[in-house]
Amino acid sequence: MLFTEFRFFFFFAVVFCTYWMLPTNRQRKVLLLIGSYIFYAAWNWKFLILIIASTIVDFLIGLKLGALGSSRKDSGSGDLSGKVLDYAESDLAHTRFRRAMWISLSVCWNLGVLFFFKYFNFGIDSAQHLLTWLGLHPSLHTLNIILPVGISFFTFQSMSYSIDIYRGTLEPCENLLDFSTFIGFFPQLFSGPIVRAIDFLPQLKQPRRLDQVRGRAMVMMFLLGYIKKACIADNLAPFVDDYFANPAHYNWLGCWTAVLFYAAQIYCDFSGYTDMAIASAGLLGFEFCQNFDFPYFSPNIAEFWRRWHMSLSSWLRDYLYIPLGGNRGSRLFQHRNLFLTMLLGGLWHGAAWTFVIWGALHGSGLIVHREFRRLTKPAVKSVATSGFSVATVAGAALTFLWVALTWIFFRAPGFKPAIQTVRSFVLFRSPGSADFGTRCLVAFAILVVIHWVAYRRWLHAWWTRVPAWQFAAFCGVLLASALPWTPLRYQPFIYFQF
Amino acid sequence: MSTLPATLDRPVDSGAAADRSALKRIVRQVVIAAIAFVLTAAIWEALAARLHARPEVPEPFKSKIDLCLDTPGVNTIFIGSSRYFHGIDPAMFDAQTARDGVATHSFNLGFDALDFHELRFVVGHVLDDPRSKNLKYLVIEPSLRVRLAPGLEHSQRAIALHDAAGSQAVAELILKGNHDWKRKLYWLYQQASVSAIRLANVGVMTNRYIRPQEPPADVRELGGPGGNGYSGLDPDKLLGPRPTVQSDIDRMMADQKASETSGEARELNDFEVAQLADLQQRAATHGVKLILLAPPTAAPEVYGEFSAVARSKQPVPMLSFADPITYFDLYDPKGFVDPDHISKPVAEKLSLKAADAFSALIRSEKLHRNTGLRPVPATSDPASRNSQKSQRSTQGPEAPVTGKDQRGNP
Repeated sequence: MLFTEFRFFFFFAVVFCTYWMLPTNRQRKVLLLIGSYIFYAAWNWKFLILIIASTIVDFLIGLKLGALGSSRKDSGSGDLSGKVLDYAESDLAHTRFRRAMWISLSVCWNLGVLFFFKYFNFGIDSAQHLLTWLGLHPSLHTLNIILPVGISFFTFQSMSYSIDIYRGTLEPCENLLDFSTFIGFFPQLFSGPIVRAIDFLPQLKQPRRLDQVRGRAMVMMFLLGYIKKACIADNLAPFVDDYFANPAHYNWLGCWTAVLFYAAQIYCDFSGYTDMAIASAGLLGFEFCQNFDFPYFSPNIAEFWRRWHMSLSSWLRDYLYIPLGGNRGSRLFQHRNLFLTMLLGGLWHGAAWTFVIWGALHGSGLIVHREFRRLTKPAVKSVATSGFSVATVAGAALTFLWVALTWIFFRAPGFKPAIQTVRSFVLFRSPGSADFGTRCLVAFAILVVIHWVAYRRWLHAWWTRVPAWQFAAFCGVLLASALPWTPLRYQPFIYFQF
Repeated sequence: MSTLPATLDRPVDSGAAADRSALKRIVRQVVIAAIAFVLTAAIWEALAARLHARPEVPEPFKSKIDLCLDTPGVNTIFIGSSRYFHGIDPAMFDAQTARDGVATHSFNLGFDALDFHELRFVVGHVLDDPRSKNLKYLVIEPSLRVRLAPGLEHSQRAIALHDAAGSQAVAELILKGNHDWKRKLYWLYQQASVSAIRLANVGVMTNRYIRPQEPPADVRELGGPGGNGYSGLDPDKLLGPRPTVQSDIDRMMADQKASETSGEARELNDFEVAQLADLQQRAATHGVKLILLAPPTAAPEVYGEFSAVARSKQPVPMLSFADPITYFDLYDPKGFVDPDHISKPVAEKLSLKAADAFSALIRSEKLHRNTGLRPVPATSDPASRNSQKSQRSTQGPEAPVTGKDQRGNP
């Protein structure tokens, strides 16, 4: 069930009305849980078992970790309060060991599930290639494994929950219903945003109020998300698909069109999905964090990663980059941390070497940018204070081109088409002669202008100022005017494959 | 352990009433939005018509109809589903009718998964086209089902035919047709989703201005190797599970026997009979004779209701080969590529038998016109049908049941 399908509108209308009519918070949460499981089962009911298993494992581990106290208390600076007072020194060591064991179990379980479903065949294939290259000819068998939709998201969510309890930044959830709803909540189940327990569980505890819901903003966000996904991303997809099916067939103009279209497609696809997810949750009274903030207008690559898929970026920062050492240590050590984080971030997106390359390119870009900033700090400062300037525009253009170039590895079905495309994109040379026509570039320019208008917030929130009936009528007109520009066949969201 | 307030079971109480009143306000706004939506959709519909954003005849119908009507001398057209497309060879049919003394030049206008709503559209379009002025016989598949095949829900051909009038016609066929409630529910759901797509104008401008959603029809593929609309299926290429064919045939024979002895076969109701009569009337006004022809199938539900009452109630003459008892030679499991489709060798046999039956029917009608003898359909009484059947089975498989006069003359 996709957010752009008619049946989702029907499903959501039923859930929305029933949810707000139920008298107790508990009943509402039961409804959300059942609704979420139905939502997932509409894709494949068998994998509900996996979600339920993940939920139970991390719920129990959370309770165990909670019972053993937090690491902050253990390593605390002489504040011997609470449970710690009850333990002798030897007991403390034993407790630390047990806590380490439980958190390892959680991490192993979550990464194990992720590895098995997502990376097992990739690992086998890679091993086979490596051994063949070394002159050995092993016959390793891959398994016919279906990748459960949303696995990368819900495993990260449940893993971060356990880690937060281990670190002492979160109290364990003592109610299985709450925890199951947190893991399975349907708006973010398939493709995020990656919601933190610390943000979401308190919202589940407190009954939501319909009159406190920012209804207009949420409805508008959903409709704009729908338009981004269905009217823009899905219409660009066939051009991109055609190009990457046979890059050698196209000239450099065709290549540029396809690469620019893919940059627009993936942004509209994923940010459109996120908008619809945030709006769906918002209409049920839950606030999610922002996931995109006009990333293509970022003046540099570091800023890009602060604005693109923000829930993943912050997750990688908190649970990977900082544990690796973060900004501590020598410059080389910091660069290593940054590079490794991006490399693993790339691998998180998909089980293929092209994703690793994509991550490596971004890691390299971040390191270069960091060094550039270090060397030109005074000059950059003056640019930053001057606001909108030639340097900012040039920085944004350069950043966008770099990001677009890296998307080639993200999208290409293999190395060969990726290299072919990069060559064509950078050198303006290609063996092919076909292109998509200059009108496609005009269409891209129009998209940029629309995006710029949204970025400058020229039309921001005007709908909050009109009477309710006018807003309702406007929504009806907007949806009816968007549908004729929606392709007939539903295109799955790009991030579903991750 | 938890420091969060334990509000788990606390009623929302004071908030619940406020929520319900807010919900009422939202429902009012949704109604306003729905009205605005419908009005805007109507404007887009009008706009799409002015811009010719929708095809008048959707593909693949247009290409194949053009191919058929542009073929000189065609006077007989077969219109049906893939059972026709892969089952009747016009070349063999014409050769056999010529031997039987009836001159035909036929074309196979079969389309994969053609349902009755689409069939009615194709028939109407062929009849209304001035290029069909030489048409004398229209042979159509006897199935009143309007079930959409999987994958066609978003096809241009389905959507184009689900405008307001089309949606109403389809709903009528489902609701008034003699189907069980499960089928009605499922088919209604299927068709309603296509109607929703059509009436909300989904994709109409995309198709027109950005990129067509479907590739243009391949005329060579539709025309088949002979260019006459027929495409035989290689017996070695299985499309579906052949192992089930034998059991399907056995089940079909058992059903057939059971229905004939008990008389419990599902019948066409008056509404369905009226639909056929309407088609017949429409053809007659163009001077075209309408004939039903049921190819062999191992799926008993396809022509079930027709087989049982073909000889008595429905108004159009019918040539039925969906009869494994009489046409056992067409029902060799090895001749099926899946339970619903016959292979090329069987299609050739069927074409010859269909030609004989067709010629017999035409000759009998001519006899009727010359002598005044009425070709009376066989009785619907099961006992009488059984006696006819046993008579036929002693003579071996020949002309099908309909089209014989009272004296048994073909």
